[in-house]
Amino acid sequence: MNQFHSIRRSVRNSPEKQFFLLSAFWFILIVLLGFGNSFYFRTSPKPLDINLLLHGSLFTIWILFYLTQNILIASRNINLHMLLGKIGVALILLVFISSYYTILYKMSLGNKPFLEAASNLFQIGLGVGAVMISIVYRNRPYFHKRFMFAALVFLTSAGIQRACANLGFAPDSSLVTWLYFAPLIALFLFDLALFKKFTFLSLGLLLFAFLLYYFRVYRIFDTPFGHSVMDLLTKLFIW
Amino acid sequence: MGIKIKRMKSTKLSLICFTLLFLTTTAHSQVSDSISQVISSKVENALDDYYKGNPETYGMLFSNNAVYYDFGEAVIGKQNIINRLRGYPINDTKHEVLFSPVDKISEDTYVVNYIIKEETGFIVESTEVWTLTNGDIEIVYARLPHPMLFEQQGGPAISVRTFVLSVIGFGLFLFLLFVIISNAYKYKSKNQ
Repeated sequence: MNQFHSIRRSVRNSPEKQFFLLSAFWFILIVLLGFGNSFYFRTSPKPLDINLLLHGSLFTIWILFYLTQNILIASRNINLHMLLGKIGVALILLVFISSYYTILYKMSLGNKPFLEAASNLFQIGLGVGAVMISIVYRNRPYFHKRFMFAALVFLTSAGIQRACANLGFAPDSSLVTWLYFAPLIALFLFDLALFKKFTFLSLGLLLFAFLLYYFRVYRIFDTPFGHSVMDLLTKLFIW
Repeated sequence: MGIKIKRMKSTKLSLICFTLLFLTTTAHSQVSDSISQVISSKVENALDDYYKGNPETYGMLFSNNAVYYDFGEAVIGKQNIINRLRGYPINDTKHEVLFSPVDKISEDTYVVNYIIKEETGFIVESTEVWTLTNGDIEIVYARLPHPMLFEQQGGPAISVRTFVLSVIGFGLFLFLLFVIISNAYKYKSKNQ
């Protein structure tokens, strides 16, 4: 109970903690909306493949891990946050391997369109890359938090398309675009309000994501070079 | 006598011609009706299985060289289409199929359009091209059913419950974000 009051006091006095705690619930909502009917509240009598079960479980742990780390920061449990951070490195590597395996495996079976697989691989790669940068900046909270936040945006992008489809919107509808950029726009506005000036990092992350999205950079996989990279990845992950 | 025979012959001939014409038109409409029934029953049976978590059953309706468009990508060949459909996460869902009249576009080719209404209120529209080959009728072209945002009457395609919950959820997030941003704006750090 005391712990709860301590978190409440700490969060009340820090808009940054409020923002990042809220972001954790946002990502949970997107994942639940996107994968609720195919994973969490599945009613299909067909059991899920073991690789999908593993991938879904690891990803769920990762999202809950993000929430836990935010709560630990809010409750000023820095030592535990840092200790769990070490486990987080192993966890994100497992998420990376299971995600790449699942995407490439589904594609090799013909269950997934090539470009959709390319887009998923690209976003997962970006997400894991952002987590790594965030770990490098672990002693600089401002950078650490924002790169980890961006990582979650990239990692949950597949959930956004599915969430929109589950809400009755086409996969190319503008809602997909808005939901993808909403957290980064919110981060930019939040930093603007907090620091009363444009901040390089939040603006940079928003522009970076926008340029990648606008130019559909993942289509680089649809070139002869991209196909050879995809073949190599398939050989690496699917024996 | 000769004239009588000629009149009889021409009357009989007309009668035969009319009978033939009648039989031809009747037979034609009967073929169309039976084809419509065959197609609709094949689609309904396949979709029943599809919504029991076996989406590949729908793939069995395709011909060996059929083309299926999935998010703009052409999946060619029955086996590849079945493989693609296997990737769809389909839950056990109650549904209703509403067929439009089947259109015959050539001697053995038909265009079929239907709307699937799922129990959640989700609505999709599907168009397929069917061909009669060696006494069997198969799909030669189809595309991923397209979700319809609004019914013809103007009602929402998603269920009211999902819509209300989503609006409340997203509204709550927007409200909290607004509160947090206004807190951030008022916030003065120790360094300032």
